[in-house]
Amino acid sequence: MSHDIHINFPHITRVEGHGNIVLNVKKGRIEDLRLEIVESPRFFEVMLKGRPILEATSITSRICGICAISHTTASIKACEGVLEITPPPEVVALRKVLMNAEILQSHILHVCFLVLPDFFGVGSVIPLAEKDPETVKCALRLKSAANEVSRILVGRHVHPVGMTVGGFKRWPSKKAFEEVKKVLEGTLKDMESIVNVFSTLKNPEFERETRYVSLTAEREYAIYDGTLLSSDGERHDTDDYKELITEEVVEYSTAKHAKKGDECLMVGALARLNNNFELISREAKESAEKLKLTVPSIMPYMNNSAQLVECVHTIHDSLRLIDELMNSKGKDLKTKSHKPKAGRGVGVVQAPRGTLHHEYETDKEGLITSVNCIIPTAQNLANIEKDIEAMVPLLLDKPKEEIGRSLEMLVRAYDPCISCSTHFLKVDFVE
Amino acid sequence: MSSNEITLTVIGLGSPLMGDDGVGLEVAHRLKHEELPGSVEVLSAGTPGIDLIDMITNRERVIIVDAVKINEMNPSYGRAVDESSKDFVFIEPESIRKKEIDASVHEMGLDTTLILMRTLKMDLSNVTIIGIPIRSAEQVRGLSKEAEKKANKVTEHILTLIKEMRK
Repeated sequence: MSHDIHINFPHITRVEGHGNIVLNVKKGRIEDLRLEIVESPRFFEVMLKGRPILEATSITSRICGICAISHTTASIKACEGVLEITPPPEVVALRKVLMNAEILQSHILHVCFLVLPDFFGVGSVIPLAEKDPETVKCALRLKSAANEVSRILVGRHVHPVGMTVGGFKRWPSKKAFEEVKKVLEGTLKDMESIVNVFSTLKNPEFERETRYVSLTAEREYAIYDGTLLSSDGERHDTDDYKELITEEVVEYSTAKHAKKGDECLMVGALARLNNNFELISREAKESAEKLKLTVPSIMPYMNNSAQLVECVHTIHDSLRLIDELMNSKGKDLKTKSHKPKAGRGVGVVQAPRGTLHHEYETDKEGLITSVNCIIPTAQNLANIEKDIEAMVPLLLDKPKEEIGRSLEMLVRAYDPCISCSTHFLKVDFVE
Repeated sequence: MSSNEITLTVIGLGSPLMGDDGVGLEVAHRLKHEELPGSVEVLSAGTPGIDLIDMITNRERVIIVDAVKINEMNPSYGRAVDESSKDFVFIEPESIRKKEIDASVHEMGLDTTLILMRTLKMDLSNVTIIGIPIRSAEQVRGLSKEAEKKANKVTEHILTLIKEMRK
């Protein structure tokens, strides 16, 4: 194969829309590389302007059907910032359980149904189910269990109806907590099986240093709260997130790129583990060892393994939190009315795919005057481009099928919504 | 009534933002406004993707209502077992075939989900699909008059089935 390559991944769907990868190499040199996000802008930020602050949460939840709990939580936190509300510890603990459930269902969906077919040399979950039905059934049970936790606690996992500013619309009964505990305990064996399956697989070897950005906290693996940390040591309060992350419009993409000046960054499971590994549960550390994940890791493909480690962590963390909640007094934490006021609030959480920011400002009537939402995928896009740029020269002598497959797997490892459909992308080569 | 006393689950599928594609969802909405026995549950599932499996499994009897594009009805989208009505068809889950599996699990369609279940040897004998033929699915809100009429017919048909169940 010559060193002239044109790769066009047309119509990569579900990066909250559509995207393409365009790569042109001439005489071994990259002439053009673009990760184009060509979705129609969704205008959520504009949509919120002029609306009462308490409407923000149910609207922004609709940004994503998979990460609805993360968007809901980030939005609630931003609203609570505006209204100067400090939720009680029980409310925070329950929100953490819900976020853990969302991380579990999202990660399992990604690693088992989107990533695993690559390792079996098949194009989708259907032939995977023919080759290894037990693993697919195991993954379905885990996903179902994670959804069930949300259903029991807040009515449903997509656009949860029970979460609200200040607390929950209905505080779960002790019986509900017991039910959740039983569901979570039922996942342990399946989770171990999935880790065992992945421990026999080898991720492609590719390394590139970058900045890993996540929340960090002193006493716990930060999912809900903390300060923003970059792996190069820079640290900021979440209110000052713009010191660490700035957005820029990219000519060929309708999604902005979120970077630190000219430097790109990576968010997500690998970034979180790189920054906070010591604080994950003992069981999760054991899984990391099985999966040969050592931190800090600069291998983007290891994000898949990092997600599995987080799955193990979320189950054990939630079991601990549920025990605490069952032993709490179980206050009636129903919604209270909140007096509108002028203010600014920033809600930052760790969504499954990385750090999620919501920022709102209101006038004295409590109407929203300014909104900024930065989603994880936007923060990873520039880094994916840099990875592709660094990886392509290493692949030039490989067969074209292998180049295409390697790039697909790389993009998929980041778990952008792109990965939903990259399995059946058409790859065009011009030699 | 607890979930294990439910004897019939009706699942409406489709997107209300895609015109006639939302006809299955509309049937579910209409059924929810009827006085139904406690043994019947109606789910406005929308586009549940792979989560549809949870809605089907461990249920005694399931009726799925979904739009079917006219040009995909036969033979690529299953076999219509009763073509006496032009307003809707019954489709056997076991008969569904698809040439290209676009298993994008974030929004896996009904056909792919059923093929996955069949591949995993999951029981589908409790599932009946009512396909409502539509001409197109476009980004508009609301149903065409033709789809409205079909939604009425399917709603009436399911209500008749429920009445028969009570006898």
